Order: sequence, then structure tokens, then C-alpha cells
Amino acid sequence: MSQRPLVEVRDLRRRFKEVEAVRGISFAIEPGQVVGFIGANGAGKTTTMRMMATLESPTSGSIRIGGYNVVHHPSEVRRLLGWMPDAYGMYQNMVVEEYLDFYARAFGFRGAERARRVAEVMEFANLVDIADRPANKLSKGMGQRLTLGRTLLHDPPLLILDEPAAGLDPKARVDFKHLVRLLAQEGKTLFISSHILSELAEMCDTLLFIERGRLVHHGSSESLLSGGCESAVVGIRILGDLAQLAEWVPLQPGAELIELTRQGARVRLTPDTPEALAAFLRAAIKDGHAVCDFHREDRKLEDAFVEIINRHNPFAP
Amino acid sequence: MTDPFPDWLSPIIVKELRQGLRSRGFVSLLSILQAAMVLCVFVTVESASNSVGSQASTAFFWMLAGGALLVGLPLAAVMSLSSEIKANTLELLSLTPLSAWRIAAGKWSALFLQGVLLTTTLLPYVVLRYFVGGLDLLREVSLLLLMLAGSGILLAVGVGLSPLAHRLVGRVLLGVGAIIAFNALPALFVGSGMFRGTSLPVGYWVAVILCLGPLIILEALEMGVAGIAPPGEDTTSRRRLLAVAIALVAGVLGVVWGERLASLILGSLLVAPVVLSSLMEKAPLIPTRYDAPRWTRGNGVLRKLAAVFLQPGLASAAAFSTLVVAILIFFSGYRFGDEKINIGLLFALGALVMPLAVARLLKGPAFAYFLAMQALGFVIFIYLTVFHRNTEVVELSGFLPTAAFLLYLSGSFTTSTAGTAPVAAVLAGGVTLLSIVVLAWLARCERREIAACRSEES
Repeated sequence: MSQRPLVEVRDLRRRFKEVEAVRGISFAIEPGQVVGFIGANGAGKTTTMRMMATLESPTSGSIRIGGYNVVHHPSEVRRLLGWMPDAYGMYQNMVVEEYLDFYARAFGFRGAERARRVAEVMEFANLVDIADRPANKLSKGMGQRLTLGRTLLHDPPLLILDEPAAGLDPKARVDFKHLVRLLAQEGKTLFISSHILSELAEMCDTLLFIERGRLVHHGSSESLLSGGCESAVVGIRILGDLAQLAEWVPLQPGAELIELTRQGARVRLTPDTPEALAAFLRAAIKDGHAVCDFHREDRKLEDAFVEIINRHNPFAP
Repeated sequence: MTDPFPDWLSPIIVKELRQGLRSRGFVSLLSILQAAMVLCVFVTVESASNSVGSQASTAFFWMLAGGALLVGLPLAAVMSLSSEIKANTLELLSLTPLSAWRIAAGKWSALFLQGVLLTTTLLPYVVLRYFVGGLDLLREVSLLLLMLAGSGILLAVGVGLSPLAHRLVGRVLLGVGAIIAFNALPALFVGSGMFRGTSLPVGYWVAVILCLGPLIILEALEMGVAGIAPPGEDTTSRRRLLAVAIALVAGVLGVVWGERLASLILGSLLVAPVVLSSLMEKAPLIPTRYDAPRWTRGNGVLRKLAAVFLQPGLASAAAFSTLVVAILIFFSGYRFGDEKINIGLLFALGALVMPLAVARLLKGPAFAYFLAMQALGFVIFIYLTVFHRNTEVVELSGFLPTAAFLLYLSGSFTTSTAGTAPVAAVLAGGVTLLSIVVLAWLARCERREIAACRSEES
């Protein structure tokens, strides 16, 4: 028997005056899944997440969380989710522990139960050492941990995290990733947006790509890397003038210059067949390029992402 | 962490007290007030035998107390919800089980408690002034408590207006509103003086503060709640119910104290924002918004009455506005005998419904269109007042600015007094009738949309 999805989004649309930020997206998230939500700035990620978090009303379409429509039953939905926005404010004249204590009171915890819950969350989010620090004077990383702690207070089954790793230094990023892994192990359903594809690929079971308000990919990172790909990425190193190589590559059938490297270039070749690769190498040598290295690269998530975007929007730069 | 706040206290009050009592603003206000009070008592002692010095010290005392309670704290109230909106923290609060009402009420309660604290710190100085200055203790304490009650009302108004204050348009509106209030309130306070040459009795004002004060506080807070509540929550019903209660209480107070006109003006000023916002409201098509209020469930008659007068929608807004106006007119003792006042009422109705019909027909912010049309009418009114002072229509057009617009269109403001009123009345009547037809049609369309939305959800 299949389990009912925790999140069901159907033909969701959101219009802001003349701009249609979200254009009919549909997806479902099963309980316990960790889903990455990827898209460029302005693609519609935050708008979609805010609608899921009951903070915006859809223009049309529906979102159900735990079976409840987010517009018609916001109170029930809010009990089921924890929302961590990309930009948040902290209260003045309030220390970290008081901040969590306030939200624990707001979520209805009383007496010893409240103290226990605050202590648990502080322990989990590694906030014990900064319990007496003013909440509005924390570093970005500490602030993110505090905000994550706040979203966990009422122990919601679904966490919606909007760009949680943005602006974090490498150490804070690693710490944060660790917390996300722990939450996933606890069976929480996580919906995380980010620009950093490699990080999401490590953490997430499923990736959703959104571009200009439309969903352009829905699947695992493995399927993204292996399936549906029509091109190969090759690395070529030469002895000689790179400028000539840069001019030569676009003239070859099915070849697209991705970037120049120190001694060569990364090139996308279509179709992804041994014959096409061999023909490209033959032409390079024939046209006088002193090729000293030619290899097929493992596909990177970023390349897959760009390819998908280009497929849906061929005029994108 | 030692926690001095008990569990039963609202989380918002706990938070606001934690933040508020530590804030620089409050600590500075308290310190300055205490230093000034010591100075005040010192002056009282020094000038015990000098009446001028004693009066100056009394004026200084009340200026300080009034400044703290009636200016300082209400200004903090105006920033209470807007600062949360600006800092992006209100959204996080709205995701907790705290309702918009509990948030607004908690903000008000915490500020009022700060007011109580300030008042309490002033009481020892009142007692000292009694011993060293021989002042009337009971009178001084009563005045201080009355000031605290007034502060409570102003705090609620501040919290109610607060959601507006984070937007530029809101700030401009608040500024304009403050100017109007500063001009209108003194006129109200000497209301009967304006009409009869006498001032209103103190007892009437005490009765107003005691009987109407709690309702005004609730109404003002409800305005704030409407600004922060999620779109699916019905805040309209409570606001309208409170407005009906205010109209009734104001009317009864007017009858009991024999101050019908003052009560009519006061009641009209208090219910006008609710009437206007109800008529302008374009509630989103979310079924929960149109659910019957909880307190009517299980009682068929109450439920039907709520559907007719209280639930969101243009048709019920019109019924509600008619009810409130009828209550105010009933208690004012006005009997429809004076032809001039009848024509004035017709103009007033025209001035309300014509811009309302236009504002509702256009897409976008109805209230902004309404205000723009009133402002246009006001400009024409000024023009008429300056260039045609001797015509009676100017008096009529002054009743509500947009009436001047109708008169201007008719070109009748240049004719003689005798011929003006009938022509203008027919014109205003025609426009009013047409506007009502348009509004009725709009209300019918809206009802259909609401019914379709509710049946779709069910």
C-alpha cells in the first residue's frame, strides 16, 4: 500500500501584477524525503516555498500538506511545518535562550516541558555555548543554527528551508550540512532550496529544478547525471594558442565551448556517441591543434543543470 | 535560566516586557521622568508660599506625565507591529499558534503595563506634592488614572495603525490623519461649546472613557489585527459588531447625559473608519473568510443576522452601514423635518456612494481611489468657497467635499440661492440612485463568486 504524499502541489500559479512568478508547477513529496529545490535567482523558488508555508496565497492551483489545503486550513498546516526564510530578523534586547523560550511559549509549551524542549533544541543545534549571547548580534552561521533551532521547537514533520547555506563560511556550511543529515536520519521531510548544487546533491534524495516559474526536472541526482542526457563533456589540452582553440570549437558540428581552462578547454559535444567524440578529436588534430590530452569528463550537476535550462530556454545566455 | 514570568502570561507580553523594560527608550524615559519629578517636588517645596511657582510646578508635572503617557508610549505603539513587519519577524510569529488578535492584544497589554509602571512611579511624587504643596490628593490621583485610561486608548489606536506605518503611503496617511485628529479632537472636546456656547461636562467624558473606552480599545486593536491576519481569517465580523456596539453605547450616553449632538459626532467619528473600510473591502475568495462567526454557530437567528450584517461582502457592508447610521440618527433625536438638512443628507449619501461605486468598479486599491476622489472634491470645495462665498450651495458642498463635485458638474453653483438647491438635489439624487444601482449589481456579482468559491471547497 502506498503512503499518501506529505506535500502535494498541483498546477500552482502565482502572479504579481504583470509578472507570473510561478507558472503551473506540480509535484509531490513523500514523508521522510529530502528534496532539493534548485533554480536561478528569480526562478520562483522563494515564492513557491512561501506559498507552501502559508505566507502567500496562490493565484490558482493548490497545495496540500498532510492532506490540508494551505489556503483553507493554514492553522492545521502550520502545525506540520517549520519555515526557515532566507532573510530573517532577530529581536533586540533578547538573548539566544530567551528567544527560543519565547517561541516555545508561543508554540504552547508550558513549565518543565518548555525548559526541556528548549534545552533539547539548544543541544541539537549546538547553541548551549552561546545561550547568553544577544540574539541580534550573532554571526551568520550562529544565526542560522538559532533559526533552525526555532523551526524545530514544535517538532514538525516537514521543514522548509530557503537558502539555508547562503552566506555561510565553509566551517558553518559543514556544520549546517551535518545538522541537515541528522534531521534526515530522524525521519524529517526536508524541502531545501539552494544555489549550491553539489551540496544539495549530497544531502537530497530528489532534486527539483525550477526555471522561470516552471518545473524543468524532478528526480534524483543520479538520474540527473545519468539519464536524459544528450551530450558529453570533454576536456581537451593543447600545446599552443588557446585563442585559436576558442575560435575553432564553435565551428565544429555539435560542439559548444563551456569554458577555457589553463591549457585547454571544456567542450560539450552533441550527440553523446563514441563516433562524435572520435570525429571531434580527429578534426582537432587535422586542423593543426597539438592535442596533448583528450578525455571524457564525469558529468557535473552544474552542467546537467545548465543543459536542462538550455533545453527549456534555448535563448538563455 | 531563572524565569520570572508565569506560564499563564501571554508569550507576546513576556517577550514585549523582556524587550521593552530593557530598551533604551523605556529606561531613558523612566530615568528622565524620575529626575524631572524630583526637580518638580523641589520646586513645589521652594514655592510653597508662591502661587505662580506652585502653578508652574503643577503644569510641569502634568506636562511630563502627559508627555510620557499620552505621547511617548503611543509613539512606541505606532512602531510596535510595523517594526515586526520591517524586521521580517511577524511572519515567523504568524506561523506559531498565536493568532493575529493575541499578537496585537499582547503588544497593547505590554505597553499598557509599561504605562501602569510609569504611573506607579509617579504616585509617590503626587503624595509628596500633597504633603509639601497642599494639593488635592484625590483629584490629582483621579486625573493621573484618567490619563492612564486615555493612554490605554491612544496605545490601542497606535497599535491599530501600526501595520500602516511600515509603508510610505501608510506614513503619509498617518501624518494626514494626525493633522486632522489634532484639528478635529479639540473641536470635539468643546463640541457643545461650538454649537451652544458651553463646554461638555467632565462627568460625560468620564462616562465616555469608562463605557466607550474598552470598546474603542477593542475596535482599534481589531484594525491592527486586520492588517496582520492571514487572508483566510475573517476579521470583518468582529470589527462590525464592535462598531454597532460603539454606536449604541455612544447613543445611550448622549441620551443619558443630554449630550445627543456631541454623542452623534463622537459616535460618527468612531464608526466611520469601520464603515468606510467595510464598504471598500475586497475580501479574497477564501471560503474560511465567509464562515459564520463561532459565537453564532448553533443559533439560527444569530447566524442569519451575522450573514446579513457582519460577514465580509459589499451587500452586508451596505446593510451594516445602514444599521449603524440608523442607530446614530435614532439616538440623536433628529426627526426628518428640516428640508435643508434632508438635502444635506442626500448630498452626504451621494458623496459617499458615487466615489464608492467608482472605486469599486475600478481594479486596484479602492480606498486610494475613494480618497483621491474626496481630495478632488475638496479642491473644488476650496475653489467654490473662495470664489462663490455668497451662495448657499457652498454650505451644502462643504457637508462632504464630493458633493461639491456634483454641484460643479451641474454648473449650478453660479445660480442664485433660490434656484440652486432643487437643481442640485435632483442631480445629486440621480447620481446617487445610479451609484446605488451599480453597487447593487457589484454586490450581486460578488455574492455569486463567494457562493461558487464556497461550494467548490465543500
